[in-house]
Amino acid sequence: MFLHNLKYELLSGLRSKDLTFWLILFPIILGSFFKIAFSGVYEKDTAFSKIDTAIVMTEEDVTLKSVIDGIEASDQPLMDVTYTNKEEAEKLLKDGDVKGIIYSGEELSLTVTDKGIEQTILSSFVEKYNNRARIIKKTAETDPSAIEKVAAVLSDDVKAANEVPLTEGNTNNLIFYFYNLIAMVALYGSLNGLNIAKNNQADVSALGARKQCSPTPKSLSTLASFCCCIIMQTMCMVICVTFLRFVLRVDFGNRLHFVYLAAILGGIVGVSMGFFIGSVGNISSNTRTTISFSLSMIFCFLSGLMISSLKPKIALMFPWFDKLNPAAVIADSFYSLNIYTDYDMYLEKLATMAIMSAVLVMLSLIFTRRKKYASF
Amino acid sequence: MQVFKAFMKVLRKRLFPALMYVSVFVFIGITMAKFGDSDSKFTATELSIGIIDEDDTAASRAFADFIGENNKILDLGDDMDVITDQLYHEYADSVIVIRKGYSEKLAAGETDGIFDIYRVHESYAHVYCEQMLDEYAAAVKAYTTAGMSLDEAVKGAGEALTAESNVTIETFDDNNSGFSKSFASYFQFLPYILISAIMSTLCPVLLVMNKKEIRYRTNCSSVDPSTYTLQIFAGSLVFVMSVWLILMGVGIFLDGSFFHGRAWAAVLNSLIFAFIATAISVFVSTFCPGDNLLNLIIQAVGLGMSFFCGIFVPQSVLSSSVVSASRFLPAYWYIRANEMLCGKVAYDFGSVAICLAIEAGFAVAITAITVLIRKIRYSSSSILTAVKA
Repeated sequence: MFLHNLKYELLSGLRSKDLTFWLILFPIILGSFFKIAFSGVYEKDTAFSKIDTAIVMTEEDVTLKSVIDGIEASDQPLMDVTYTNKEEAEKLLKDGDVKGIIYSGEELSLTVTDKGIEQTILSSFVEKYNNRARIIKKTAETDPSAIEKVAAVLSDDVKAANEVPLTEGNTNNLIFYFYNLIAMVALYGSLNGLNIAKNNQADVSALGARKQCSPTPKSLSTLASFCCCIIMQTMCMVICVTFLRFVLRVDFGNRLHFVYLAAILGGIVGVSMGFFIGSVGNISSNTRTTISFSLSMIFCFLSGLMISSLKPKIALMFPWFDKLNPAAVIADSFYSLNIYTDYDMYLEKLATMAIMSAVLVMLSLIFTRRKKYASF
Repeated sequence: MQVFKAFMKVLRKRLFPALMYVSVFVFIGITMAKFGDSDSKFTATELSIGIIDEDDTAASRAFADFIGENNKILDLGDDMDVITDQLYHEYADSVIVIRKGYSEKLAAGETDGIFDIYRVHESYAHVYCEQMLDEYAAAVKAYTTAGMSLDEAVKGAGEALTAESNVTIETFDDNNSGFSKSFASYFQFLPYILISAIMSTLCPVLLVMNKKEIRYRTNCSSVDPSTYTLQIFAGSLVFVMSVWLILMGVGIFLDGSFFHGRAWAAVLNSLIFAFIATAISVFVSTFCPGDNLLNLIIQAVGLGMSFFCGIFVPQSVLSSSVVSASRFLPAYWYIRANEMLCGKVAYDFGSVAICLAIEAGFAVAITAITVLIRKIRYSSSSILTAVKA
């Protein structure tokens, strides 16, 4: 009987193409948008590149010139320098062609238009130059005989810090937008889940009324609907991850099978959420859809779908919420596979998803069971 | 005004879901303005740095104080997962470990490898932080070479490196009153809020108005199709103006003061964009999409336009090809005007006016196309053809 019900639930689900089509099309369209919009953003925004700088020398400054030549010749040059006059430099700065103007003189001075990190680096260079001049000046006042030794020390290359890379994974944090996109598709599975309750309640839909008069036990029919939704949602999640990975070439790391697993479990969370929303209270179908959309949207927003910098702030300010936000849990499961070599965090996220789904389904069953309908 | 009245009647019936959507997007707008600062790393004058002091000596503490002088010290503990997460999401710019034996090495004139610095991205902040460490170590070594004790050298290095150089911030803009960058960040996110909130609430109402039964009944009435469309626009505008006023009220609440100066131009900018959102809503609902397809369109238009046009990611970091393509979308001109108004890019009244005019052009063009399509789709002859088919 269960398999019979499941078969017809599946046929009915596949024939009502609207929702499934939408859940498949949604990540394809938005994923393509993300891919196009983010092309080159990481290199331009986060990754380090030379800073365009104008230098204005009122008099020939041999020391500054040799320092700049040294910087430009280094492996990772800090600046891309243009020597020019004051008027031209100001025009370049105003047009955004350079990030700052360095003026030579007794001490170097800097003019910038903003307070960004590139300007801070230029400011740091100017300060470094001036500091060294100050150190030599102070040494000259206290112990002139040590000037040569101090100058030699200051001109030595110092490598005070050992770099410790924390991950071998893909460090381009724009990929988090794709994680959130998958989370959004998973949570939109709640629209699928809404139908479980809707199609099994006689006072909500005609199909529910028909089912209530049939001899099939309600638990069996509900279970068949739930399994059908999970199968449909799994199909959507698999297509979504496959499209992102193999068509858009999003780098999920080398443990793709676990990415699929997390995505499928995320989809089950979405379906369970919809089942729960559909079962609670006595509200109209439109309102339930609105609630489902709104909740999915808010969860994804707070997980960084629109602004990725929001997530770490939420995680620090409200850690309990971040651990319970289904969108954040789904996105974090992909993130943990990308960044960490062990599976501790990944398993923690999978367990959270499994518990969330179980609790939501149990609550939904409690709300929907033993409902009696008066017939007129 | 029968059509207008019918529109209002349908709207009243769908007011609860509409209010819910508006509340959700107002919440998103407030959170974005408060916490979003999508370009925070460009306006940061200080870095957010975590310090793990394994040496715990006077010299290491003096170093931590020096770092704290011009930067924000984060308490991240020593949990590597937390540190990795914070560095990955760029909430922390850098995490420095003062290694065991730091002060002894420094006193002996050794500077190499006295710190560990955790890295996730090869970022500007990381390069800057490395430079800062090298500079500090070099300064301490220079002073110890000059014969100073370690305590004196550490103090001298701290003083020398915190002494300020002459850094001028040139704004090329002497009249930016009333529209700060923080206030501008709320207006920056408004196009997404306006598009999403207006389309999510208005389209379902318009879909009811476009239902076959209502349309057929209207077509056999004496109401001219153009008059019908204009009444629909009028009803939509009344609703949109209410949503827009709520959003302006939120803006005033967030800023704590009433609009003045250039903020009025930003208000006008958002009003024109609200008209664009209305025109898009009427245009989309003309094709009578199903509920789910409608939601797909709303998400695709709202999120797609936001990512393409610099609402969520600053225009300055988008690739030139994306920026070129986004010129064909109204949100690009909205953001361009907003950035000029807040002084992010050089302000020019003429350029702002051009942006507003182009936005208005988009609104007029979409409206004209909608009127035309509705005239063709909903005319008696086209319905007759549909019925015969």
